[in-house]
Amino acid sequence: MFLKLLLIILTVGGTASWLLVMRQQKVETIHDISQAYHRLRQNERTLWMLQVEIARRNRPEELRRRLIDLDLDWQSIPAAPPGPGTSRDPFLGGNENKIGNGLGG
Amino acid sequence: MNFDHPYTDVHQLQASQSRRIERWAQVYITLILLGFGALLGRVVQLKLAPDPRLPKAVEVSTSSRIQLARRGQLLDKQGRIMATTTIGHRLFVDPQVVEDITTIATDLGRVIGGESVEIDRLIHRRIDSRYVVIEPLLEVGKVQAVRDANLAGVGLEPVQVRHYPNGSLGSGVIGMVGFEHTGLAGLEYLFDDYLEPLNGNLTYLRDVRRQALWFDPEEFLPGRDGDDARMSIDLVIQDITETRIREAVADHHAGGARAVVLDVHTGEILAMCDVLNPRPGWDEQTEDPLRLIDCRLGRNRCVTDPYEPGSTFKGFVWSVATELGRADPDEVLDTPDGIPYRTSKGRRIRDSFYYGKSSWRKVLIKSMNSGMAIVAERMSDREMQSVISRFGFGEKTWCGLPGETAGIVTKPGDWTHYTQTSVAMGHEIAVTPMQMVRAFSVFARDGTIPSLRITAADPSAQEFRIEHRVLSEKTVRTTREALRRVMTEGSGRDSQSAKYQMFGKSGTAQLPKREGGGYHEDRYVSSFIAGAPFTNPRIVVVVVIDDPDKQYNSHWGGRIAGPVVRDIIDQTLEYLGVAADQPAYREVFAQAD
Repeated sequence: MFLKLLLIILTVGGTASWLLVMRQQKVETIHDISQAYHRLRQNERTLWMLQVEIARRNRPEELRRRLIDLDLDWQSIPAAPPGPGTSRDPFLGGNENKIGNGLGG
Repeated sequence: MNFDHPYTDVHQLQASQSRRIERWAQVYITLILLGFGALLGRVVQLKLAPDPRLPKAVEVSTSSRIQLARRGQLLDKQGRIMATTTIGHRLFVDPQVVEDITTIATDLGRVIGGESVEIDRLIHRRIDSRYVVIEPLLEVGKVQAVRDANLAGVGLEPVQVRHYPNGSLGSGVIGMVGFEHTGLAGLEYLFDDYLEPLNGNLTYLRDVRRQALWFDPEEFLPGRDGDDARMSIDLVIQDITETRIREAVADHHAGGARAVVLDVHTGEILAMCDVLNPRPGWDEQTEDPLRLIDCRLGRNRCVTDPYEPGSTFKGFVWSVATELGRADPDEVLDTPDGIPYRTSKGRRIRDSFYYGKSSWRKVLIKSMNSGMAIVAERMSDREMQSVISRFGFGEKTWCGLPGETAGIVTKPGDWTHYTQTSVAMGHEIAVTPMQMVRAFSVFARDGTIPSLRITAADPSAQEFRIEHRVLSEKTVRTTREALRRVMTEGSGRDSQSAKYQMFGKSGTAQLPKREGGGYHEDRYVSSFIAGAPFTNPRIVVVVVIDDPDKQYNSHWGGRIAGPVVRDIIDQTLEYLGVAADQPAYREVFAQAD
């Protein structure tokens, strides 16, 4: 009888301990996830700040000034001809359809 | 030997031990049951009649925090950032928590490098409040310093900060957001729903130092950032346009200027610029009170303010009259030689120069009012009205920009004989620059009119777009050729590009008086509209210079607005990598290679 009682108490105690361990692990996992999420948002915010800084340093006015400082003979990249789907030009002929969405370069 | 002892009997001994174990077991079970009973009683007591200090302690241990999501970005056609959002911090003080205001003001002043006297004054001004803003937007480098200082009663509140990295470039089109981070003007207002984020929420358990202990996943709603919107505006072309327009306003001491650059293939608005130049001492100047508050808040006059197009409108009448067979380009008209032409209704039509008998083509090239009036009289009222409606005047372009107007057109019921000849010369009608580029692009295309768009077109997607035909291809060819000769033989001679063959038309209209009753004698609206390259047009540009100062320079559209259009076309097409089509330039370029 004593052994049975001891066994029951140990089983209940073990189960309770195991449940506590599980609960603690869950709490720690949630904590880790929240920390990771927090770090993610922090990095994202840093990234946003960097985006602003990059955009500020690459604005057309700034680029033009730097190109002048470099004093090089820059050439534009030749434009591709208007793609299919652009409006047809009567001077050039052609039979493209009338759905105008091509960028042409 | 007989030992008569009660425990000598094994059975009796076992029975005695069993009874003892049972008694102890009963004691244990009773104690456990009592323990459970006490526990249950305590739970019931906590639920029904807890200690008054307990609920307060439990309540304050949870906090709810808004998770700020980011408003979407406004990007240009190439993906460059026009407007974006970051998270900044607002520094505040809770005077109810602060123990000694003078000390906290001194400490804060030291940490953020501010005047402690000023901080002290700010707190004392709202001493009963629980939220006193010390710094609306704390510098990034000082945020950590405030955190490290860990001052009681001092808090940092995350706030959204909208950035416009290109400064004032495109400010009139982009617009701005207000205090609540919602769009107030321009594209920010137009795409507000699209850009708007959905903030998240987090409720968590915290310790006595207000640090988060843990949170229940059920209590966490993550935020959703707003969508990015890609516009048709190209920042480089916008920069080219704005730079040149500001120069023109300064050169001619004008009241303002407007310009629109359109991609004729896609209907995308590549650049749009509106400059106002208040001149002290001048009366009846165009005003925009909102610009005095912030340049981003002003109205976009390219879509809101109509102007009289003058001779730039002649091309539209000329093309429709030609298409209807009211005149042949080679037909010689009886245009006057030295004296004004008198219409059949007795109206005197003046030309700036009298060429004598001229062909219908020459009428457009030399911008002859008399020739336009002669052919206008051959057209019925309805035919002249169809010129207006075919090209979309008198109705909005529906490009989506806020505040767009339809221009001013005489109703058919109010049409008079004067209206018939006035419209032929671009008078008695007012149009917006946006309407003009859209209408003129008909000559740059195959005779169809495009739908305008302020968002970038996707070259990989087959989008269904409605385009209706305005002119036949033959008429477009004839008109474009005549407009090309305007640049070599007509009012566009001063504006011809050395690289690209342009086709265009100038216009100089008198400035109407604000209170009505006619026009100012010596104040004008000078404009020029052109497309290029001639053989395969890519863009159309319109420039309107409002009220140029005659004392500074000429006031003629071909002289002052034309060169601006040419420079914008040259730089834009070069940037887009479009090959030059001027024969002379191509030869020089080929030799250099």
